[in-house]
Amino acid sequence: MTYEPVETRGVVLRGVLGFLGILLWTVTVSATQVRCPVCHQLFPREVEVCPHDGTDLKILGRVEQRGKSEDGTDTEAADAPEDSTASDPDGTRQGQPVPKYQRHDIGGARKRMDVSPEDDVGDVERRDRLLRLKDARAGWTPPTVDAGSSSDEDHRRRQEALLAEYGTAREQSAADRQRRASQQDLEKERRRRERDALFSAHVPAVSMGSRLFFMGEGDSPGVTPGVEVDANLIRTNVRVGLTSFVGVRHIGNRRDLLFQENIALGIQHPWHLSPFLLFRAGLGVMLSERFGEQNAYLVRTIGVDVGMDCRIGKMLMLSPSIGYTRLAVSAAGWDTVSLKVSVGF
Amino acid sequence: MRLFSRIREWMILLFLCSGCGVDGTDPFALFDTWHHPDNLFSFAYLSPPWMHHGDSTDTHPVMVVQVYDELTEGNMGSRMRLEAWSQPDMAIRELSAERYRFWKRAGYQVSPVVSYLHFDGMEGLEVVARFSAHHVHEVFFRCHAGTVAFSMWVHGDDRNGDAALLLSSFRPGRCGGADDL
Repeated sequence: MTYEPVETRGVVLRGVLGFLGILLWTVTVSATQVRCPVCHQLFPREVEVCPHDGTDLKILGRVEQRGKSEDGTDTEAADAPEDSTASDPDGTRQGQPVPKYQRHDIGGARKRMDVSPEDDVGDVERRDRLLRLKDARAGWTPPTVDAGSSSDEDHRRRQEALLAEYGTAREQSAADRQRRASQQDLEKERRRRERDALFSAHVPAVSMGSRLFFMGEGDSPGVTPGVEVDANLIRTNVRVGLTSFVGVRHIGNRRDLLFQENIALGIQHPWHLSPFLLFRAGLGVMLSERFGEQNAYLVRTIGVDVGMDCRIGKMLMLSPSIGYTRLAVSAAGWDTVSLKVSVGF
Repeated sequence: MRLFSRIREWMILLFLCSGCGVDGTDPFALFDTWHHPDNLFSFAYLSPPWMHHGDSTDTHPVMVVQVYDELTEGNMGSRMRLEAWSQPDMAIRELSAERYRFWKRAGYQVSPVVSYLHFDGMEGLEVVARFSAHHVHEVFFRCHAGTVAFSMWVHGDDRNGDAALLLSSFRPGRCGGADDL
């Protein structure tokens, strides 16, 4: 088998040259790097967005040769921090530019943990970039400022806004205090009503009973039974009430009609058995038939009663009491001991 | 404020000193006492209803109760009438006998003169007369100046015993007794 001579040399040469060309292009292209204008970090050309700050490297990145920048300075020397050896002790990055920042996806601490992987990573990173940089390079546009505004005016506006806010807060605070005070007053009133209701439950508001005393004359003992109606106006620890008495005084064959109206003021202890001590004073009229004519005498009374209100069931109260009364008609006086039993409601 | 404090003081005094003077159990506690100017006699009366009659003098008091004109049978003109006087020149028996004859002439049924014992222990004489609804009680006591007399004329019944009580209040000032009875 013979081989025909062919121009293998040319083919090989062209192949070698082509390979060299491709290799050279590849080396050239692969040796080209892009520097982020924000973080000044070098990235391969295929990196389109800076992973640190999101800068669009295709537009804003500065193309540099590996090891040299566009102005011819040694980029590796410039990028390498002084403590690069400390940050790369194992020498795995030898021959590569040492990044200023640790990439969060490699081992840095910038990875946001509050964003779920389902979220748009690009959007999250963009918002994160806006929050951190807050300048025009991150795509943030400052608010439009009026041409006529000045820093003093802004300061004044802020002061006015602060004063307005402070005034609003003061009004709110005053309103809160007033509301709390009214609530406290309502609470006090409620407690007072509860206490009064508790006391009133054991002291009759109105009671009717019988009082018996002796208003003698001569040999006659002067038995004077009567009906008495009490109206207790105040029924707390202090009792204030009015007492009306109507009775008949028996002197021999004579019958004297006696009316009394007393004011009772005293103390008591409202309980199931409510003892009380009452001082009474009042005025009255005694109608007496003397020598065939009805005569009216002004009666003055002053006395003291001691007794106890005893609850019977839910509605009734039995109140026995004993008292001393000084009755006076003109210059004459009677010292009487009275017994009283009343039923209250 | 001063007026209020005065009123309050008076009210307190009124109540504290109420009835300080007289014991109310005394039957004459509410009565007033009439005294003869020479202290010949005295008696108690209740005013009202008793009031002095027009014929009353310092030495011969005359008092009436419930003056009205309809009752003229005894020419008393009132429902009750009392009078007290002294007879210096008459003995007690003479005066009582004269009054007995007087009421007899007036048509009254007069009981015989009897002795009267005052609750103080003094003795006297009593004349009781009655005509229809009129009742007369007269008592006589001997006095150093003669005889003192007390007469009570009542129309109707003395149901309450007030007339008897008033009659018992009469007493001579310088009492003697029934020594010359």
